[in-house]
Amino acid sequence: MRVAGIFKTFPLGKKGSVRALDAISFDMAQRELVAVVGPSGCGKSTLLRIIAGLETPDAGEVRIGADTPATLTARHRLGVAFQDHGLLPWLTVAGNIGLPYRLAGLPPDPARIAALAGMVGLSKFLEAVPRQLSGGMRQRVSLARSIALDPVLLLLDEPFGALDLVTRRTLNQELQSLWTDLGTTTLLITHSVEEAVQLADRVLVMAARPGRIHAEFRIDLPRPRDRALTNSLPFLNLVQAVSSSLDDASAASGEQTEPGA
Amino acid sequence: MIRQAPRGGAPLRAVGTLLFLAAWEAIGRTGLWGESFPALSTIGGVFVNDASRNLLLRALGRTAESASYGLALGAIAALLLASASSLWPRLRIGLDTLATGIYAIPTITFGPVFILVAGPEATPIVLSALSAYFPIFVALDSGLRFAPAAQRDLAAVLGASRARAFGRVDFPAALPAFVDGLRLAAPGAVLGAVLGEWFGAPRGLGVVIISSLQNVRIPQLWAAALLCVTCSLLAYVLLSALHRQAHRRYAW
Ligand SMILES: Nc1ncnc2c1ncn2[C@@H]1O[C@H](COP(=O)(O)OP(=O)(O)OP(=O)(O)O)[C@@H](O)[C@H]1O
Ligand SMILES: [Mg+2]
Repeated sequence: MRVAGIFKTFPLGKKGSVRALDAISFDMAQRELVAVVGPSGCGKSTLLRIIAGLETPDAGEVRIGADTPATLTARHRLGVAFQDHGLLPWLTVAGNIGLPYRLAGLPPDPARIAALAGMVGLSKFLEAVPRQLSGGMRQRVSLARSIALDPVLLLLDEPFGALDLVTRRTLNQELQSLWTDLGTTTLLITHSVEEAVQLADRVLVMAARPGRIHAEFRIDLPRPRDRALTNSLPFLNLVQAVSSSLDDASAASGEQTEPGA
Repeated sequence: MIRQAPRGGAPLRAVGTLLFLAAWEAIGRTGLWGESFPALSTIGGVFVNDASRNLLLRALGRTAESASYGLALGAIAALLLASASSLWPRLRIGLDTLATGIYAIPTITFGPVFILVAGPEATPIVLSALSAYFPIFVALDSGLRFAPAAQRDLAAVLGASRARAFGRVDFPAALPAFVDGLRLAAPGAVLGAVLGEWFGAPRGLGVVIISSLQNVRIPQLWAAALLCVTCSLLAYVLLSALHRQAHRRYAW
């Protein structure tokens, strides 16, 4: 996947504007998991929405292989999960995981849905409705749903952002083999540096106003990255390095708004 | 979220109701507001007489029937209008204007026209539907338009056609709003039916009201009016229960 020279400015009030993204360019290899961290408001969600085709950039383009976001969407091969899980309260877990089939006009495959529920540890809850699930379980359903149609590109915007630290760690421990086994090219937005270093092959650090890429870290740690590894010195050093880069990025971030357009 | 009425309010509510009824009785007995304001017991007396009770209850049945048909027809019309403007956004402004324009027609002036066109039997249903469809349309339309953003985005990213997004996501999510519209429309549907009966229907509470007026049967007039109110309240309470159900199932 290639993101080339993305610019995006949002109008703000009568005259002002926010330069949400300024010349964002990066490539992702196939099967690569790239994490993006950055101060709040640096344009992470905007970047993800542009890659998903939900927002159009002022300039620049997004290519996923030979596809644009629009053509990938039309082929039903883009997967997303957001911080707000967006589950449909009237559907069961099975119904929610199978929703992409319904929306794409494909017949849902019960065996595949059961397998997906198994992957996220929800085999026993296929007939439960979201109201009966905990926050962490809802997020698991949302993740299973995001990979239901075997996406070419998976976009995750703080999927665990609303969860407490312990639940989040457990989910990351449990689900990391899911990402590696799946081998789907994945862009993960997170505000947890540990999470980024634990899961990603590469971490991009963004700075705000204008939103830009401040630094890039390659994470060459072995997998699986279990408890032993996340307590090891190389891991902690990387976390330290990314964290201080993130502090630099925050310091280098501009004022909230710019007058004039 | 739906909040329950606060607990422990029952005694207060009972006292309030009793005070209201007592005041009514007192004003009627003393003749404070004149003869056209009878005491509650006088109005209740109408129901003791077999003949007038039967007359009123049969009229009530007829009006309730017309109002139910009217509410159902209004709901269908609202469903068609709101669905069409959700499925074909280009039609939205036109359909909005049409829905508002028709609702703004003063039915009083066109009552006689409806009698000629639809006939005296169907006029109560037509006027009831005309009063009912608009609140339902407005409620359903905003339910469809303001579906949760996360659900919208999901449908867009998955490449769902407009029709599939409507059927699988937008419409079910708008069901509580639709039932809310029904609940708002119910009293209007009853009033519409009564108004339609005024214009020359053979039976119904509206007819009883007209004939009581002409024959100066004040207590019977009040009894008919109270039955109208009761009918509306009952529909409102039932539809509120349905709304709670729909909300529990289709919303967070
Ligand atoms: N639809 C919009 N209209 C106007 N401004 C917007 C819109 N979306 C985002 N912005 C602005 O663009 C900037 C980047 O927002 P974005 O949501 O992408 O940040 P973020 O990095 O995801 O922040 P967070 O970490 O808090 O989620 C912000 O200054 C925000 O005010
Ligand atoms: Mg964000």
